[in-house]
Amino acid sequence: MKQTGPSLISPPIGDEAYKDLEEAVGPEFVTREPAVLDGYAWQPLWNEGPEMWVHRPIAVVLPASTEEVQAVVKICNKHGLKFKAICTGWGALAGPRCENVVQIELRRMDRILEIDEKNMFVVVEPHAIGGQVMAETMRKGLHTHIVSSGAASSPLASATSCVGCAPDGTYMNWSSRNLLGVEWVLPDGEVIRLGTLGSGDGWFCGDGPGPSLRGVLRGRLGAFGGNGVFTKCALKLYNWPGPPEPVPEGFLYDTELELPPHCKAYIMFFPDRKSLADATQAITVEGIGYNAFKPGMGSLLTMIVPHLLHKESWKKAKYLKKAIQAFNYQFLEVLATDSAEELEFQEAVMRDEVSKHGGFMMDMEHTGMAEMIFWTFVLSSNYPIFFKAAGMFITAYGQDESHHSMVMASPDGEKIKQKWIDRGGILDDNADSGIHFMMEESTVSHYEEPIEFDHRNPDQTRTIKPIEMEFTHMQAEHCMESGITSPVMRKMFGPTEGFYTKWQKGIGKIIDPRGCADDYLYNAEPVEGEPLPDDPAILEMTEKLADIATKMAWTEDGPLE
Amino acid sequence: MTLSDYERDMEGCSRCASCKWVPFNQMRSWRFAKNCPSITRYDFHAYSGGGRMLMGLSMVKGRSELTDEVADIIYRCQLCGACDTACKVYRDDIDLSEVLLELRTTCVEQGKLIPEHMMVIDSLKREGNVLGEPKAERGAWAHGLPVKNINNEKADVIFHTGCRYSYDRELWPTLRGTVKLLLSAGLDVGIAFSEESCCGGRAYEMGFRGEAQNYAEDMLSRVKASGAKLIVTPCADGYAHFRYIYPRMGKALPVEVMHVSEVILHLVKEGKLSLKNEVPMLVTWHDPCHLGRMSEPYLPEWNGDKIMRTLDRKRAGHNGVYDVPRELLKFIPGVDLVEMERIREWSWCCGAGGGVYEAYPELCTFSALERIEEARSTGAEAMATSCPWCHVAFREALAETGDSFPVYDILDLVQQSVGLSPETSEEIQGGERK
Repeated sequence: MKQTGPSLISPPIGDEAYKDLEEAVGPEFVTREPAVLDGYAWQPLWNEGPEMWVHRPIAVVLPASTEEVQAVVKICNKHGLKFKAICTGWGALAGPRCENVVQIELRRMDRILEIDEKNMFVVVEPHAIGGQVMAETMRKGLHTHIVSSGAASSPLASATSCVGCAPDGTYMNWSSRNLLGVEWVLPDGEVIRLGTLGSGDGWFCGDGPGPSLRGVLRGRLGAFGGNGVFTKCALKLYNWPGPPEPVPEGFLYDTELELPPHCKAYIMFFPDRKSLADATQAITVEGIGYNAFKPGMGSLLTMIVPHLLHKESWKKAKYLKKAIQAFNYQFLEVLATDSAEELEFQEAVMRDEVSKHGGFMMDMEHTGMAEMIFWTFVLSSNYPIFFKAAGMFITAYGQDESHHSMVMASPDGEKIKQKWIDRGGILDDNADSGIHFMMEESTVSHYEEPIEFDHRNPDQTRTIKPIEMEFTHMQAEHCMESGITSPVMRKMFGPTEGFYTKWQKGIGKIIDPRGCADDYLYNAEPVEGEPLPDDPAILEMTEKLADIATKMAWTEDGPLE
Repeated sequence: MTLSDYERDMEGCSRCASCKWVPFNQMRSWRFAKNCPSITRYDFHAYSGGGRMLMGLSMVKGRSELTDEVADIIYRCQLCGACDTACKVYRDDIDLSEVLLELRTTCVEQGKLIPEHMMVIDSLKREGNVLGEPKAERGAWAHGLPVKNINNEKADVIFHTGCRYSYDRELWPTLRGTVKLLLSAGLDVGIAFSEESCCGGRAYEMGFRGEAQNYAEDMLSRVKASGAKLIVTPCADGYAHFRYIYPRMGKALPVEVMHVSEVILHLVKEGKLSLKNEVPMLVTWHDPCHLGRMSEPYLPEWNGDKIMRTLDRKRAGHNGVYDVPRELLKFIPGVDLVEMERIREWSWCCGAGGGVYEAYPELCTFSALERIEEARSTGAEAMATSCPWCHVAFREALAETGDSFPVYDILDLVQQSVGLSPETSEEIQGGERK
């Protein structure tokens, strides 16, 4: 598994392999034109840099069916090539991460195959995007969970391969939990169908009576394409009490459409972090809310007044910043209910808990923002706005633990962020942008710390890797699991989390005997002897991480005391 | 400006894929969720707005070269601007449409020309129009109409006909009827007859800036000499080019430019035209790209970091002409409007723009048929529009497939309501007045 230097350009694909690909999918659906390939290699999002290019694929293919995907995978096996699937391509996780990769672009597999209203599931192909799935399911009074990359992303990709949480998790859980039957092309080209699909009983269950390999196919974070290609899957649907075809005026902040009956948006404020954690946990335990999350005031500023954060006057606005921080213990609740009684119940529970914890809540209709908040969250149309303020963002790896541990850990994240703001490396968003939302019926909370930067500015891109490492260190100190994707870090931290890397590797050897899947982000070994970057900040953090990893490592018998 | 001048815009692409879809708040179905004919037809990322920017970035960074295949991809784009509008929902610092124009110019500068475009340019040089028709016959459509010749008479209003209307005889009844309406409402209208030339916008879109510059200068001098106070055009392409491309080239026209639908609406509101006859019809409205988002007036380049660009300096398609035709349809008794899913800033392109009609008829047909299917899905009996190129794209796509679906210019519906019978081809005699 070799990174090939700054240009990350592999030698060209051989003619014989290319001809085989052409025969598999048709010549018009294969390319090895360098400028076209670079469209798959430019991946600034979730790229720790300093370059924003990932590896250029040696070819891109556009299969139209599971059979064609199989054929492509088998050709890669035959010629000793790697492959990696891409759907909508939200982030560097979707791009090739090593040399000699054939990128399997799944855009031609974009159908919604079935919406089962009675059993509340939808069957999708990879490139049916969230916006499309929502539009069709809402017509039938149903809704689906959309990951917080938004309506442009693929629900299948999120459910099968890549993390998958969002503020709608309070009602619709997260991607991993919504996955039912799956059709999966393994890295050797074999097709396997999971759950009821595997026993010929339809799509409704991922756990049998056919084979249940949901844990294997994605684990918690997902294999980021390292386990093969998922060509169809069924996803759970949930109740949608709003109109079948909501069509707001406007695109984003100009959104205008009345709230549906029995729907509301509330904002609540608390005196301190603990009150926030206690109250919102209690509210969510009661099953309240359709979308719910703790926004950071900094995040709101980046969306609403992005220009302000670049100005010198903002940097010096000490008291204004403090005043804004005073409102940081806030929480947004979007309610969508079926009846006046249900709405009244949900409001009463919220009011009770908010009051009990010394907070206050406000109906957002009083602010004039209720419609915008409600619809942009329900339609997941708001998330790309994070690109607006600086051009790019990254979040310190999302963490999923108990709500209290997440909320109470965020001050440490804010300290790290403030340090890097002070060094001038990232956008000054007041360092209070920690975002939290809950899933798994409130037993799990998600925490992300958005970091806005301009990926076109080398001084800023250089800071991203050290920041990410510093967050990983903080997470380790808090005994959180880490969303680690680099081979070096996996090797370092595998022993702290039950040697999971050994198990993953073992499974990988069985399903991918020739090592054809691009599993750099999931299963790859670090390259021996590869020099570390000469950035002092990275070297310092590497030492700190190695130290804490050693202290936390399990023995073969289990974790240390 | 050159492609390199937009390096920061190209690098700005986060690859979020918003450019491939209608704005997400407006997504109403699986079927009509896509906004870009090119990526919808060809699927590789390079055919999308973002993918095109990344091809440009790759070349600017020296990672790849402008090959014939890359040039072919660059040209398989209608420059309809839907990607730009979608991108700008979230971004202030990327001018996607500008990058696409620069890619065209780069192709021309590096000699990556395609024969079909060369024929258009040759026709422009020889005959002053994009259709290869004789220059001398440009004013033939106006035979017998009491319009002034602005080459030797002063007129308040220059009626710039445009290439397609001037030579497409099937459109002449629409055109002549419209001029009759303007005259009947008391407007002092003049045309340039054979001296009228193409606006040059198509040449600009194809990447031939020098040619476009020549035609802009020609137009500018004619307008200055005429003493006219207003330019009215029925050609949506020309309208967009006058409002956007001319100022971009530093050749802004010194008088107001209006699309004829704007003028007609004005006359109706003033009571100078009476839309009295019932036109019982359920219609859907196709927003031409060049009347809509692409006609948004030019805004000077933002000096400095576009991250700091203010919204009033961001050209995002909102200031195109969308409400005028809808309002006009409301004035026509009996006409009911039913909207398609992809309208206004996120309208689907007919397929004819950017040199695609001339060079890639299959892509043009694909795009037009997609739009017709969307129009049909509304239950409308007919589609109305107000761009001769859209009209022709739909007409030819339907003819090619043997299908039928009524497509009207809004001006036809206005004329029906006014009670003006369309002239037959026998009634329209060829030959220029002078």
